[in-house]
Amino acid sequence: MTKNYLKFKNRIRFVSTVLVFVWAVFVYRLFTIQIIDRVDNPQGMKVEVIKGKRGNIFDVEGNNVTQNLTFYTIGIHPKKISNKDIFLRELSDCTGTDIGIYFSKFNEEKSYIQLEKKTIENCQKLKSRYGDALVINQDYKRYYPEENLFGQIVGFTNVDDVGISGLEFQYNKYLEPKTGSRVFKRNGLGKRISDPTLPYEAPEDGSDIYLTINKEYQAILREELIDQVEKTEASSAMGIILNPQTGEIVSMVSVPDFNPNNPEDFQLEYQKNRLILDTVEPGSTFKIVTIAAALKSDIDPMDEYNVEGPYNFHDIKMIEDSEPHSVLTVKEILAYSSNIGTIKIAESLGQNKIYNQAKEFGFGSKTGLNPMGEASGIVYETKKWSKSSMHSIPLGYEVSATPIQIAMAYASIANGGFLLKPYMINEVKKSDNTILKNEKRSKKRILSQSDAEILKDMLLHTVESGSGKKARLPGWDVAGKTGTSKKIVDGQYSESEFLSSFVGFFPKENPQLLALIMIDGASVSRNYHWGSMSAAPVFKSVMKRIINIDSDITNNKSKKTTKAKKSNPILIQKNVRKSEDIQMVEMPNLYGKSVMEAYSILNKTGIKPQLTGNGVIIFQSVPVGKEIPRNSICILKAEIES
Amino acid sequence: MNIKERKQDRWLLGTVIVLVIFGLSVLFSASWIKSLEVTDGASRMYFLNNQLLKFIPGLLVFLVASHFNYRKLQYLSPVLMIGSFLLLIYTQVQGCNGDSCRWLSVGPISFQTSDLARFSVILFLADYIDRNYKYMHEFVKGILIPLCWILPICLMIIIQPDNSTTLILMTIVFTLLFIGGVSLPQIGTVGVLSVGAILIAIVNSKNYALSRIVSFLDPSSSGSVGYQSSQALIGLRQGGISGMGIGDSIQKHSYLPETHTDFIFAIIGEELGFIVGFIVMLAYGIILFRAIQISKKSNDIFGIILSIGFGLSITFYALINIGVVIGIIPVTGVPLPFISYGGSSLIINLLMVAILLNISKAQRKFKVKKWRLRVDG
Repeated sequence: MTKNYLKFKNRIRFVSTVLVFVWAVFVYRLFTIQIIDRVDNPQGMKVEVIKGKRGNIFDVEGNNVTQNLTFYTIGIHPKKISNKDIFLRELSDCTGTDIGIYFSKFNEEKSYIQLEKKTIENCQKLKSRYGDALVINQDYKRYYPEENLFGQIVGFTNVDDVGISGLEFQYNKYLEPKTGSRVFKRNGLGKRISDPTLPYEAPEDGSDIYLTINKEYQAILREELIDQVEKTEASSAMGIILNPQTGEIVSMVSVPDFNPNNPEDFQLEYQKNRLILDTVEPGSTFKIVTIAAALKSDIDPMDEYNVEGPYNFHDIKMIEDSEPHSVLTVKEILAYSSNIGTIKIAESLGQNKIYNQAKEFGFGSKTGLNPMGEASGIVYETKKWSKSSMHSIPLGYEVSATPIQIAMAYASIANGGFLLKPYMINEVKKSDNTILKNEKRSKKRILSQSDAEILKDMLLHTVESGSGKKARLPGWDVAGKTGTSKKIVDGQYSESEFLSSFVGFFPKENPQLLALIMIDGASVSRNYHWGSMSAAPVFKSVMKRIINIDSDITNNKSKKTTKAKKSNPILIQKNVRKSEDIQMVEMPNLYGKSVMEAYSILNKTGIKPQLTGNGVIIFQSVPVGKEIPRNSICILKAEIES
Repeated sequence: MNIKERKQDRWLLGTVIVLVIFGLSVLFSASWIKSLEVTDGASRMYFLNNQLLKFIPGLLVFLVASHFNYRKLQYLSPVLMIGSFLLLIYTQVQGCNGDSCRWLSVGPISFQTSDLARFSVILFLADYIDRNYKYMHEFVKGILIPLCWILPICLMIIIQPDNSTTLILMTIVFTLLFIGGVSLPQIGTVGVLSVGAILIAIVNSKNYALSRIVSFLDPSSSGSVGYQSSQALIGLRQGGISGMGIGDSIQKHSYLPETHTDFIFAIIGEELGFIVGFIVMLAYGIILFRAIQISKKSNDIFGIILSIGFGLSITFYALINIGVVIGIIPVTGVPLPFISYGGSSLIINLLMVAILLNISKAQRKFKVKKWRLRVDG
């Protein structure tokens, strides 16, 4: 310290003390801001959810059973909009929604208002002009282009795109897309800052499901069932077609049905898949249980039984046949569906053999098609049987079964003795084409080959000369069995309400198709209540049309080969309508129309759209103005307007 | 003369070098977005390159000054005072760029004349106190005469308008006069009167100072000034103890304006956190501390006052800049020494450091002789 410095020492010390104090205050303040008031979420950081697409469901030929239409939700931040009149008018021009609705929703006080929940316009032009004030998010809505045709099989989703019935529900975890997310930063002007280091999780589209169901078979079966319901004044009808060699279901319909695009307009009863959920008393189709059990006990098909009626069953009940006979062989008993004969055979076999055979055919246990939503039916254990059981159960009463169980029991006869697990999913394919799931096929021998052949012969005889005559297909060996069961009304067997059924398969030597038809509540007055009168003719007309369109079904022993996918631009749904009522329609101009508009126009015209992409139509496979048959398919391509 | 050179103050030199290098990297991080804006997306380096260019004259001045005997500056003091005043007038006459007239442009080089004026005023006071130490307690010689020299310069800076520089300059002037030995009641009265007068002039003029004060007193009043201040605080809060990482500031993305100049400390706090912010504040503390140490060992009054004056100048600027960012002082446009973008302030600050180093080197050279001269004289 120099002497000169000493002159200033005190005042310098004073000034530096003050400055040190100020400095300390500043440090304390900085500490307070940065450490005590620390904020962990920096401003401008946001997380954006990116939705993937729900997986689609396709029929066996690759036709879309479901589609995802692109929709947009539009919301605004009212405080960021300077001129609400101009803005709302422009938005109204874009979406087509009445401006009055927007005015009523608009509220300056709120920080965010949703104006459109599901609009098909993406309004990108407005987005570029209004930037941050306008929030447009893309969303998808499920659409079922085939409407009623697959309704009960596929089910539908709720507003959040979660499956709540049918396959949409059962396979929801596969179909559901994985939502992705993106963290992004915005700068002070509301623009995004690109930063590749920010976390990004890509969305994953849901897996696609490929069905074994054939859309054309489905259309034919549905149409024939509807016709028959009208003709026989029945209340409802159902049918199932499957491949008895593999257990793959190619068609499954019950009418009345519903449109999964607007399920709220239909009764709940129409929405369920009755073929696996409803149990019925099968009636005469159940007689094969007794006959199969008889064959296993070495009763010869040519053994004769006295079937003169009425037959007094242990003084409990007088049994009669609908068509009286005196003496019938076992084979004829099945062919003519003799009640007396069946009961007499059953009595000679005893309860256990009947019970065991019923269980072997799969009655009383789930088939495995849909373990979650499937009924198992009831076959009581023999100790629960009453005295009357021995005249009821062999005839298909006092037992309950789902239609699918009956069909699978007959399939085991058709395929030479194997009880199969039915399935309708070919494969579940992930968005990257890896196959997630193949249905597990299981087969169990329940009949010897020779017994199965004998039963097939009997069923052939039933159609050739017995109760199933109306199911005969000229040129084809059809085997089958009719059934007519009284329905229980108010706790009693009704004399006016019947369930009429027919189950059959063909060609007998190498069965390729098996169908079960059930008509519920057909008119008694015109004898339509008999399975032979109402159900068998449906089998015939359905199969006739299927043979016409499907050249793979042959009398030969060769196995059915998988068909190549069709790719011709104009697909005409073959023979869906009978040739005499083919209507011609004119193809409208769809260019530039939105997907929804196009669908509604085509729906009115009667042309079936097949759409790829979303947004605005940029291609139609049928030229404008061309005359084409009703129900033709027009391929549409859509793209989002840029 | 018996010249026995001491080594220059290494602490001071080292601190300044570290601050300068650190400052350049922070400047790049804080300015590249603005560079893209200014150059229409062509370059991120615009501000950095410009600042690097300023180092050519800056280092030149630094090298020359640190080897130039500071005592000769004493003779330059009146010349520099008159020169600064004339340059301020010329700046005013030359015309304005935007709404303030602070820049003197000679060809491609532009210079903020008030920075030179600040240097000249400190030099003048050191010289004046050196000559009139014995009479500093008198009103006329201690206050009136120095103020008569300084006030015209202040007036020219006020009409630019550059209120904050004027206020800092006046604070330096009164602090130096106080240290120089002016009587307390006198300087107290004059200080209060002149600060009051300046404030009235500011408030009455049509410039933007009033809104800054209003928004400081009431931050919720939503002006752009209150916005700047609150965005700076948001940045610091996001930074926390260790910062968001170099280059990861969000505030510089158009939230916070003037990130390369007045609010650069907010970016330091946001990207590097409290610890680095504290170290930066410590660095300015070290500079003042070393300036005092240098003055302690200086044997002439000119050197003592000059060291203290330069040290205070750098520290005041730093404290006021940081005080604005942490919301203690109303928003004023004051650069952070050695870090903020801006050539003239950088050059003047380097010049001051060079002279401090020069004083530190010469500390004992004239000790005995000078002391005798003074006593004899």
